[in-house]
Parts: sequence; C-alpha cells; structure tokens
Amino acid sequence: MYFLIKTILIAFITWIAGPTLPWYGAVIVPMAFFIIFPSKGINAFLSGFLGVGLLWLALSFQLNEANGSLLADKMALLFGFNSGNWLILITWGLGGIAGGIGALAGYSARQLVFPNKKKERGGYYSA
Amino acid sequence: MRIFKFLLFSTLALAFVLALNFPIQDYPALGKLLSPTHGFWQNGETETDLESERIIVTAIKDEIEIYFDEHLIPHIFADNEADMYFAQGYVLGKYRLWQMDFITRAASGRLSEIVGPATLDMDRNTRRQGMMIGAEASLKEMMRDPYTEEMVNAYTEGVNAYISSLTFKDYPIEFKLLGYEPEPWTPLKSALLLKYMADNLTGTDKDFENTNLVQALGQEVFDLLYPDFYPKEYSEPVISKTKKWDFSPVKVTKPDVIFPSIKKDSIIAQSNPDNGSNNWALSPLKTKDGHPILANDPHLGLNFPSIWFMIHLNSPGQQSMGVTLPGALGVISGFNESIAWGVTNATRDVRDWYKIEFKDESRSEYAFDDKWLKTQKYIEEIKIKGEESFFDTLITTHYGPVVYDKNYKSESEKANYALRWTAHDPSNEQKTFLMLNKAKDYDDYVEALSFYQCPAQNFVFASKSGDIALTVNGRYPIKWENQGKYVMDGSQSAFEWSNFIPYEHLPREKNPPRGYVSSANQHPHNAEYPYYFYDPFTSDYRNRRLNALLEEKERLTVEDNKRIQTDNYNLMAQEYVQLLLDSATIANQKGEAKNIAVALSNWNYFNEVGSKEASYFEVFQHFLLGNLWKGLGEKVDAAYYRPAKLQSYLLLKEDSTLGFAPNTSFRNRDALVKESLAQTADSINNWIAKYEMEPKWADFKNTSITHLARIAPFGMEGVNVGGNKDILNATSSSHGASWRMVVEMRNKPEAYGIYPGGQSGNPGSTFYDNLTEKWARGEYLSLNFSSSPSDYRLNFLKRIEFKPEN
Repeated sequence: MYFLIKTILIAFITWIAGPTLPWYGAVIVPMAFFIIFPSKGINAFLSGFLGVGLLWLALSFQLNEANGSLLADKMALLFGFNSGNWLILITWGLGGIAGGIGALAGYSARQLVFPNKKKERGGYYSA
Repeated sequence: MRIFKFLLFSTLALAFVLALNFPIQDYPALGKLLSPTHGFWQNGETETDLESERIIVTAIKDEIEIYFDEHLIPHIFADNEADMYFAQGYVLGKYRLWQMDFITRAASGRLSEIVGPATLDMDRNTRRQGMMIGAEASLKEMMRDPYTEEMVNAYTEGVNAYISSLTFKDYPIEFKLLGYEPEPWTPLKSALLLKYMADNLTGTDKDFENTNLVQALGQEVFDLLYPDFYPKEYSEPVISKTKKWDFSPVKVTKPDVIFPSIKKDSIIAQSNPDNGSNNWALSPLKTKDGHPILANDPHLGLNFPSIWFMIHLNSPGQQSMGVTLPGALGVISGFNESIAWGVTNATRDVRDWYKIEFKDESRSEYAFDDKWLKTQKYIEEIKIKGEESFFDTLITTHYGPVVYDKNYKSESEKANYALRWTAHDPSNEQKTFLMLNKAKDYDDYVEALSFYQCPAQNFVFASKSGDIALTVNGRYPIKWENQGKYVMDGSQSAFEWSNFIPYEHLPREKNPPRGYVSSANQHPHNAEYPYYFYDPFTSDYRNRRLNALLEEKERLTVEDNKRIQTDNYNLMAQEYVQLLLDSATIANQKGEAKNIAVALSNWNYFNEVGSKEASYFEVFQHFLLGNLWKGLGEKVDAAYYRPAKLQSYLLLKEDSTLGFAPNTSFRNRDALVKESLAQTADSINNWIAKYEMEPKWADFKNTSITHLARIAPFGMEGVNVGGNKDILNATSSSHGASWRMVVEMRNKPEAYGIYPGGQSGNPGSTFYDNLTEKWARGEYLSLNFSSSPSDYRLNFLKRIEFKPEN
C-alpha cells in the first residue's frame, strides 16, 4: 500500500517539478524523497524505477501521440531504429534507471543517519 | 557496510547523470535528449503550438498583430516601421532560429565550433576569403545610415526577444543534437547573411584555371575554346540585343603588361556555379488582361529548412509580401500594392587574384611598383568542438586577404595569392531592400537600386501603372580586355582595378518595344556595350528558351507564366541530338546503343518525370563531353575546366574532324559519338540492374533536399520532379527553383508563389516540408494579400499580439 503511494508520489513530484529542474530532476527527486521518507532498499529502487519510468513512458507517449510520431520517427532513424516507438521504450527504460538509481542513492544516504531498525522476530510493526 | 552502500549508490547516480548529461564522441547527451520534459520530445509540434499568444515586450512602441494563415504565412500589422521589423525578427527567430545561427556561423567560419574537426578546412577557407572583412565593412556602412540602423536594430531586438524567452526545452532540435546553445542575434549577423548570399552567388571564379589553360594551349586555342561572346544567332542577352548605348564610357586603357606565368593545381572550394535564376516582366500590352505580370524563380541549393520564408509586412506606407531570407529585413523577392520585383544573379567576374611578393619571411611587407607596402596580420582562432583551437594567420593587403600562402593550398613559399573581391567592399544592400519594399514607382526603384553592390543582381520590375524594367545591377570594376581573366601580378599597379562602372551606365532597359524584359544568368548585354565583359559562368540555354516562349504568344496569362517557370524543355538536348544523331549515324550503331540513339532521335526533348530519354541524354552528354575534353585535361595537367556546353556544341558543329580538341584520341565526331553511345548503353544497363527499375527521369535524377547540417532523416530523397540544369525548371539532383513567384499587378495584386519546403524550420512540424510535393507538381499557393487586418481576423491558424510594456 505504502509502496504504491510512494511510487505515485514520486511520479507526481517529478512531473510537477520536472520542467523547473534540469533533466536529472528524474534522479534528484527520488533521491530527495528517500532521504526524507524511510523505506526498504529494494522497495525504494522499485518505487523510483516505476515512478519515474512510468512517468517518462506516459509523457513521451502522450507527446508522441500529439505529434503524430512525426519527429520521433525521424529521430529513431538517427539512432538506427525504424520507428519512434523504440524511442518511447528507451525513454521509459532510461527514466526507470534514473529514478531507481536516484532512489537507491537517497535510501543509502538516509541509512547513514537513520538506519532501518532490524525487524524483530514476531514484532508488531515494520518499517 | 552502510558507508559502502552509500558510496556505491551515490557514485552510481552521479556517474549516470554525468554520462548522460554530456555528449560522448558523436553521440549527443542522451539524458538531455530523451528526457520528455527537456529533450527532443518537447520539439514535436502539437496543437498547442498553434494557440494564439499575447506577448508583452519593452522594445516596441505600439501594438503589433500577426495573423498566420493556413500555410503559416505571417501577415504582420504594425503601426510603425521599426515595430514591423521587430515583428519580422521575432517571427523569423521563432520559425528559423537554428538556420539563422547555422548560416551566419558558416559565413563567419565558425562551424567547427559546433561540428568538430570535419569542417575545419571549410572554416579556414571562409575566413581566408575574408568573409568577415566584408561583413564588418557592410555593418559599418549599414550603421552609418540612421534609417537602416534603426530598422536593423529593431529586427535584432525582435530576434532576441524570442531567444530570451527560451529555455533548453524550447531550443530547436538541432541545438540539442549538436549540443550547443543559441547566442544573441546581432546586426553583424544580418550583414553576414548578406555576405553568405554574396559568396553563394559570386564566390566563384576561374582565374587560376584560365591561367593554366592559356599557358598550356596558347592564346589562340584558348580563345577558340573559351570565347567571351557567342555568335549572334545563339546570343540572347539580358538587355535586348538591339540595344544602342548612348553614353560615353569611362575610359580604361590596356597597359603594356605581361601576366605572370604560374601553374596551380590546388584550388580552394568555391560556390556552386549552378546558382542562378529566371525572372521576367511583361508589359500590359503583352498580357491577356492588360495588367503587367512579373515572374521570378531563384535557383539555389535545395535544403531544409528552406532558404526562403514567405512573409507579409504592413505598416503605414508599406504593404509588401513575398519571400525573405532568414536574417535579412523586408521582402527580397516580392511585391507591394504598387510594384513587384525579383532577382536573378547578374553574372560578371568580380573576383580577381593577385600574386603577392613578400619582402622577406616576416611577410610584413610586399612589393608594389617601386615601394614596399605593409601587410596586416590577424590571428584567427578557430574553435573546434572536442579539440584544441586551431590558429591561422590571415595576412591582408590593399587588394584583400592573401588566401593562398605557405600555410594554405600553396605549391611553394613564393606562391602567395591575394583575393580582390567586391564582396569585401563596404556597401548597404539592406537599404535597397528596405526601399524596394516601400517603392511606389519606377523612380523609387531606380533610387533603391543605387545602393546595391554585391552580389550583383538582375533586378526585374513591374508597376501597377504599367511600367516594366530590368537593371543589371551591382558594383562592377571597369576592366581592360582580359584584366582579371588570368591571375595578375600584385607588384604592378598597372594590373589594379581603377574604377567602377557608374550607376548610370549599368545595362538597363525600361518598357522595351518587345513588350517584355527577362533574364536567366546569361550575358548581360550585346558585344557593343562599351565596357569589357567577362564571365565564365554564363547560362546559355534557359535564356533562349525563355524568350522563345515569351514571344510564342501575343499575350500571356498568369497560367502561361506558371507553365514557363515549370517548363521542362531541354534545348541543349535538342541541339546536340539534332546535330549528332542523324539517320546515317544511327544506322551505324548496334544493339542497345542503337536503341538509345533511336529513342533520343524520336524524343520530344522534354525532361518530364517519366521520360527515359531524358536519362539517356543525361548519360550520353556526360560521356560525350568527358570523351571530347579528356585530352584537354591531360594536356593542361593542372586545375582546368571544360569549355561551356554551348561552345562545345558550336565547335562540334563547325569541325567534325575534332581539330579543336587538344590531344583527342578520336578520329572524328562519328567515332566520338559511337564510343559515347556504347558507354551510355552500358551505364544505363548497369543502373537498371542495380535499382531494378526503369530509368525514368525523376527516379534516375533522384532530386534530394538535404538538411543544412546533413542530418539525413531531416532531409528528403527521391522528390518526384522533372527539369534539370540548363532547363527553365532548373531542378537537378540537388539544386533548383528555390522559390517560384508569379504576380499580376492588378488594382489589388494577385500573386502566386511556392517553394520546396515549408514555413517552419522544425523537423517535428507538419509545416517543415509540407509544400514540397505541391512544388514538385508545379502547383502554386495563392498568396492572400490584403492591407486590412480585418481580412485575416476571421480566418487564421494562429495569432500573436504584441503589447508594449506600459
């Protein structure tokens, strides 16, 4: 549950703040997010990967639709692909990696100061 | 452990950002490029780009309205001239920013800065030819004239108002791909744009080649192969050939001098001599409805973004429409409510070379008569993307820059050559266009042209009141016979240009009895014109076909004029085929060669898209002329060029034993034709085998429109279009009618125009190349010309309103 909310929040903040930040806002936003909010490492990575990745997928898909794939098809030829759709996939992957790596960096920074408590056997709560 | 993780992940994140934030080798910065909020995705044009805008700026005095019509042609309405040019600058910036940047970089030798070492030689070439010297001289001249200064500054502010509204995500795609940022526009860049055109249109000469040729062949043979004028029946000069010249010319006398004997093989890259154009005007007596008609189609290299941009400029006292160049003010080829005008290149040798003798190795002085004159030295820093700067020493003399020296394409320490070129001289061509845009009649046209120097143009003119005129207009040195045809001795003042043809003596005519004026880059005048003429690039076919078509009908319509512009008749083919392929010759051939000869002799000589004969002829003339002049190249054994096609024809006609062709291995004309036909058959068969299709002309020619920076997917191949060079529809594989316009000067002018390309310079816009197919089919847009903004308010694609701040 928390995982889904975090993922959506990351996507949302990256989307809103993105245009005012350099492109690597896609790294910085998830990093900052997981400096502030605690998480397990693997969950942080997945939130960042999915949050930013899906955002980049959605944005590039929507811009490409609005443009009738006119530019993406030409750009694809430059990269040796035959269709702009390949660039949407690459953008998705790149956004995912950016978000995932950023999230991990943020998570590991937080761990320096506020390490996650080791789960106690039979404990009542978890992080 | 936690520290280790932190170091690992943060290093990973940093490395990822760095790797994708900067270009790696030839690859652009991928993070920047692919980010949907910053990268190329932002460049794809969408509906929102057509939304209307309201912009508040400080640089203007009153409100400005711009209505873009269905073709994205802006109709600009301003309350004063400066605001109008502000708006022109803004609009050109908005739709052609990268092109403006790239062209002015090319003209100032700064391409390597953004491209890398591949363009270093091009940059050195540009700088050593003194393009910047010319641009700075012109800038000074522009700024000395308060009127030009005010307008050029307003234009500059307009471009910069647009540039300053941009952030990275808005940069044209080429900036993102090449990894650099737009820099502010300056008046110097507008001057550079005009120099770019000057270089395009006059930046080529044959002085070294002529020198090599005359030494190898002797004067007599040289004059036979490269005559200054053609026989009367083949000559159809710009100004009617019956014209009498009733002024007394400024005299020059041929000094008693000997041209230096040199032999040179390494020649700098020069502009394409195919850059040319057609224009003409018909008097009211020559048109069906009794209104003057003016037509113009400039032929240039075919590129995206197109070199032209259609625009309509309105301010009190001015309603002009037509095409402009990105970076220039006003309309360059177009019309207003009272007059129409157009340009073709007025070919005449305005580039000469002087051999320079330096006093010593310091190269700080050079010989001139019995004195030593001082040189000036400039260190040119050429920045190179990804490498250290290249430093070049540019030495200038009173002639101009020393282009060839020990550091550049020179055979020896002693072989130094300076370039004298009218493009270096101070002049204010911009003022001519500012004035033409507002001109009301013939007198205004004459006054406007008096400021125009380089690149010399044939300015055609028609007015609503019924006048037509044509002026061969530019700054032309008065030369004695052969002056500047060969490389000259810079140490003797006798070789120097002394004077220029006075403006009043320029070849011109107004309302000639034949009812029309016309030009197509041919000889400007008959041989009786009292000033010496020389040019190695005259066009010898389009002019004759054009005048024949204009004379064919008593009175012509607008449609007739469009048909003339897109006429595909190959006069060269007609003359060659009729001379060389008579029935006896055909009977003498065998197999495929015979089939081709038969096809050519039955051909109607039209280079239409589906014509196979047009392809046959193209290959045939290629082999024929190659074979004919093969011995010439061997004999000269240095840089040379072949005699003109028309002269080759005349010589072949005159002498079937080929006595005129140096070192030829052919017994006679028949042997030459036989060999060339056999080669043609082979070559055509190879083409068919390779492409597995019929050699139809459009496929065979494969007209391509390349992107300015050679980014392949931003260009277009295989445009389905007929024509060729030396044909009125002068569309070859990479060159052609870059703009076509026909204007009928009715009470309200009716104008038709088109160019290959589109209004937007953005490869992600539908307006990038949307006019190309229409252009290829020979169709036109009807230009929507009205002086009232209310005519555009009801039906527009996009509107931009500017409001002054307070």
